[in-house]
Amino acid sequence: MIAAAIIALVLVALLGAPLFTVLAAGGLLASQTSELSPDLLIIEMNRLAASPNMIALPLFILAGVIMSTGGAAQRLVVFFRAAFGWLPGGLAIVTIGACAFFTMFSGASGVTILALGGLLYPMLKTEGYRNNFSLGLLTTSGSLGLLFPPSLAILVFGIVAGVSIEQLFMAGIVPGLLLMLMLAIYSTMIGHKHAIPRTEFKLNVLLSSARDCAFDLLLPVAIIAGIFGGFVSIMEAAAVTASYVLLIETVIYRQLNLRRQLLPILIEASVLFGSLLIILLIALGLTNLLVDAQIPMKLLAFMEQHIDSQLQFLLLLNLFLLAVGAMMDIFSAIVVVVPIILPLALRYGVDPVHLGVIFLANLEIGYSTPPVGINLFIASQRFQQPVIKLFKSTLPFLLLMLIWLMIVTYLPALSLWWKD
Amino acid sequence: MLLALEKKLITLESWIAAGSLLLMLLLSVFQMVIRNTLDFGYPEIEIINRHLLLVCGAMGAVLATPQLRHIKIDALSSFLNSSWLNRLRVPMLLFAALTCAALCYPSIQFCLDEWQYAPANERWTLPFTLIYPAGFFLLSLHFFILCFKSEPA
Repeated sequence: MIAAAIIALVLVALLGAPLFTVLAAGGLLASQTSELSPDLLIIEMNRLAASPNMIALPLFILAGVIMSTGGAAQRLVVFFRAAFGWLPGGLAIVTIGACAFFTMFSGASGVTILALGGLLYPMLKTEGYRNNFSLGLLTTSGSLGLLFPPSLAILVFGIVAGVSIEQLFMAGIVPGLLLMLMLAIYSTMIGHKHAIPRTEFKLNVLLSSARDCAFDLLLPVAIIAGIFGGFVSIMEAAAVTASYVLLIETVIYRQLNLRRQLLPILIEASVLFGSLLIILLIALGLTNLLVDAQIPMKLLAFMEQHIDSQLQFLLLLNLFLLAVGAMMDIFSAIVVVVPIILPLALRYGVDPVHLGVIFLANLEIGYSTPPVGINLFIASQRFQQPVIKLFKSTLPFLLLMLIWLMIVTYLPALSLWWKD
Repeated sequence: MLLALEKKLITLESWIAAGSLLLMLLLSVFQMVIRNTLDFGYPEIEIINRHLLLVCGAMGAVLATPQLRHIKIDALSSFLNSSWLNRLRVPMLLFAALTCAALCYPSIQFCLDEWQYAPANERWTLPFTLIYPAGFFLLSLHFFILCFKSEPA
């Protein structure tokens, strides 16, 4: 009976019912079968809502919405073009840099492809890049900044796994830069191979574009220095970021009209936050019920019989997470899978901070993998191309990302270099 | 009539969501400024912010419902044709509406317990607990209204 109910819930989830309702139904079912009061679900939700870092989520989301609505995308493209456009494959490197920068703040929700794609796609084609290369680059670049502070995915992982968010921020920087470097080298090779004309480097253009977006460029530096220097907490950094971007977009760049646009911006940020919060709270409430029922312990006992080493575990973890990334969106994957994976990873000696980087790296790849890689669908909508064509275009990039994933997984020092 | 009710509800929910987010931002900045300049802070602000977070999140989730913006796994539906998707639409929405309605009962129970057992110095925060039953009721109502609308889910 219980097995039938679980199968029915999984089917309902796969058919597209809102995930939080499926998890809530699962929670009610679990409380019924274990003869616990369903009030426990609400008590757990209330307890988790009091998590000190939780308040950073809506404020960082607000900052991202303000940046996407304002003119940050255009300013950044102009600057990165002046800085890197002269290199072979320069415009492709500009795409990588601008997308990573924008995703840090906007979250990898596809906003990057929508905001920057329309701007960069015609530019890449005009400069002579092949259509497939341009589409693949823009599709995969939509989730590039996922490992850089103050990425929402890192915040959510930290909250769900109970891992220090500051440490996760620190751990993601080198792997994130490594991926950008690998993609930049590939782009340089493509630029060289197809003899893409290079733009001339002009110091005065670089300086004037840097001046134009100086306030944008200052932001990540200030966040990293503020958090790691111990000057502000995560919550304070979020409040400063949101008020700072609001100030620069309204007073300095005058791209936003407060009277006309503030309300829609606040509503949009609330909707994004609300759809995330409800799933987060219900999933964590359900997880605690599962822990009460000792499900992770039973899974651990099963795994111990079949897996002997950390290497075997990590290999299996990568395969599993790649499949998860291809099937679920990143936030659902974090709230559903992390509580089950975490005790297993600890048992096999995987550092929880390193696990965070591995987890997010896998899901970053999953963003561009069928059947539900969200980047594919958003790019398909944005560039009016079939999903299958986009998938084929992303294949060389996915291959590079898989190599990067192996490096990040099996060289923990890349993520944990700061620990000693 | 249902559509008119939905429109009015959306306006009210939008103002509450936006207001609570803006207030949360202003209070956080204010707290940070006085903590760094005057070296003290109001603990009440942390408590209010925690509750505003729930109000903003609950109203945001409610507003995501008519816009069909809730997070879904959706792995099978991309393989189904539009006729099957249309057939599944109402049962999925009804499932969501009933689940949210079912969560109203434990939410009310939670509120009653809080009102009964809360210590005297925390009683001023009790009205905020009503966001749980109110939120789940509104979610259920919006899913229910969606069943009567013609847009594909």
